[in-house]
Amino acid sequence: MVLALLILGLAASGAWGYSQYTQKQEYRIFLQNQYNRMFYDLIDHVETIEVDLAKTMVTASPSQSLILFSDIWRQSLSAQEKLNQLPISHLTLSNTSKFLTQVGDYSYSLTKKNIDGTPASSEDWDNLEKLHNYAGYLAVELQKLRTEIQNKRVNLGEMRVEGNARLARVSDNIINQEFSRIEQQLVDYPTLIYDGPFSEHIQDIAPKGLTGAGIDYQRAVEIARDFLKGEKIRVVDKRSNGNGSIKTYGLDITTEDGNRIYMDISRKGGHVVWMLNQRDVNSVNISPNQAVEKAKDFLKQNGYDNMVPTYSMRYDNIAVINFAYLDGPVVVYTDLIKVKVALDNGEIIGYEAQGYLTAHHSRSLPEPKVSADEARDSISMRMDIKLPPQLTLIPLENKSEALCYEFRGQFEEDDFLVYINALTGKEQRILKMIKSENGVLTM
Amino acid sequence: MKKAVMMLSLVLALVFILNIGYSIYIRQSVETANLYWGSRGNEVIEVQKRLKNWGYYDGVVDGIYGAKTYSAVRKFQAKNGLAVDGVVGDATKRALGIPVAETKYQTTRGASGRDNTYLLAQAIHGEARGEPYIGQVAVGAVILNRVNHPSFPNTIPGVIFQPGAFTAVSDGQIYMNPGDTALKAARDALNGWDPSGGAIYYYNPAKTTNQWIYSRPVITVIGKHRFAK
Repeated sequence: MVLALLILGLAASGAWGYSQYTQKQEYRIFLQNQYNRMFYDLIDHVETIEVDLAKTMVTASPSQSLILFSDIWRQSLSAQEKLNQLPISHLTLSNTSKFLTQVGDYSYSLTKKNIDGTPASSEDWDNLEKLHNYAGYLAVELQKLRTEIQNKRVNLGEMRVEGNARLARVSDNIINQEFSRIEQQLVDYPTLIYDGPFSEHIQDIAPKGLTGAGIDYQRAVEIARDFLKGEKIRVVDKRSNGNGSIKTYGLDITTEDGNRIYMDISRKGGHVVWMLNQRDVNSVNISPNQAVEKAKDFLKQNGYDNMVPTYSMRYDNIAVINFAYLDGPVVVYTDLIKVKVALDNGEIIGYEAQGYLTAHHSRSLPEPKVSADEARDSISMRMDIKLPPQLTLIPLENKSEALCYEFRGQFEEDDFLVYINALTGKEQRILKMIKSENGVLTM
Repeated sequence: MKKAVMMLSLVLALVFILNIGYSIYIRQSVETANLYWGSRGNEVIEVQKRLKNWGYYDGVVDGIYGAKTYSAVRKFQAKNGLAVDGVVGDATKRALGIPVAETKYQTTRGASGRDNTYLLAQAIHGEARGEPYIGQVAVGAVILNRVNHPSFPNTIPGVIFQPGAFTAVSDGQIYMNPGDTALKAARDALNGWDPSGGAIYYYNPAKTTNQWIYSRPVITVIGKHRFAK
């Protein structure tokens, strides 16, 4: 009897084990199929990029190069997307990923150049030749890897590390090693500086707004106390220095009631880069307009006189108000400071001036070459505009600036901001305003 | 003289008829899919089915808009407070539960960015819930810095779900319910607060064995995390 039960139990657990095994096997194959699809697609995209880049060499027709560049743009973004879904450590992939992003972004910038009637420069041709060669290299290496996968020397779905059964852990397996080898060759592809958000120069823009001499930590503490005038400060602790594009002192402040306030102050000039007060706000006692006034006063007290509120967001009983610098008649959107106001007592509980400190400098703004009326003629007939335009300086994707007329208008029930370049009369940008319970979002 | 008057009225009558014809033609081209006596097709079948189910119609479901369909439609319209005209227009279609193709521009309603806020909060919660508040904001900022960096995917979900990029994603901790603090941190990060100073990596030196990551220049240290570029 006992024996029968034992045998039955053994059989049951065996069946259970087997079903577990097959289930696991199914998941494994499913994952492997997904990865294989990504990998095959990736090779296909890279091959197409190489071929398209070759074609750009010989085309004499602007419309044809437009088609080619937009195809390269599309192919490289798809390639990048697929590459980053493969179970390969992102540390290993960073060069290949960067190569694909920049090839795409660069092609897109050439598309825009093309539309504006600017021919590609000799430097552009040079870059395209080199990029073509690197795309070729990448395609060949990926094909080799594919052969190895087909010959089952490398398994794409193999993600286990010895002694660690965790499925999703990315390991130092063969495919990772293969990719690091491929990457080493990709390191020296040309540094691409062009008109796009992923251009090389974007990553290291030196801040322009850091005026003044260097300060020591003691001075930073004084600045912090002055900045938080309304607070009863118990203790100021030193946090790690910041070595980003703006070099900072880090300060952790504890108030008498135990609340924490964090701050970064620039080592050059002693400017407050950002401040965050952690406290929760549980009620609303002041209006949005009062909040804007509080924020304005706060900026004035800290020496920022020419700031105008541009837009605001509301959530968790706080308001975040964006301020832009006013240079004569021009609203300079790049010189941006954000102020967070608690709606219970109007206290300033957050401050962010990275934008202002990075972009602000004394500019000699050009005179508009296009009048407001002429700019109005460039606006679509479908848009309903009631107010006169505002002169603005807006940031472009490549972090340069453009003087534009800002028109506010409606199409049906939707609100838009349309920017007409005040020097060329060209439509520079359209922003769509999205109203939500949290305020107005622009996209 | 009489003949001339006759001719004139004939011409006028013709013009009148043509006019009506034309205006009917215009009406049809604007409101394309109205159904009325004489209409045929799948949409008529839909109307008949529904009217039959609800007991207004006792004829056959044949896709032909005839007398029986006509009176059934009128009955339905009368019962439902619609204009009783025996024509199935947009209002009647809606009442019948038949989808009406909206051709007019609709106010934008799909864009909010709310999903990304929540996902970012989940990632922050999973990765850094024991960290000081700005340590949490900084983790959110690193994810956003990656989105804007050429070496990483270009979307928030792309960065977060990149295989092996975040332990909390690999072991499923990301699917916990993010608390209010993580949500607040996500919003601060999305609003531009970056305590990491532009970092694209962070690691806990007590838990990291990867040698390469130690070679990256450290920007700042918050709580247990080193932030690097």
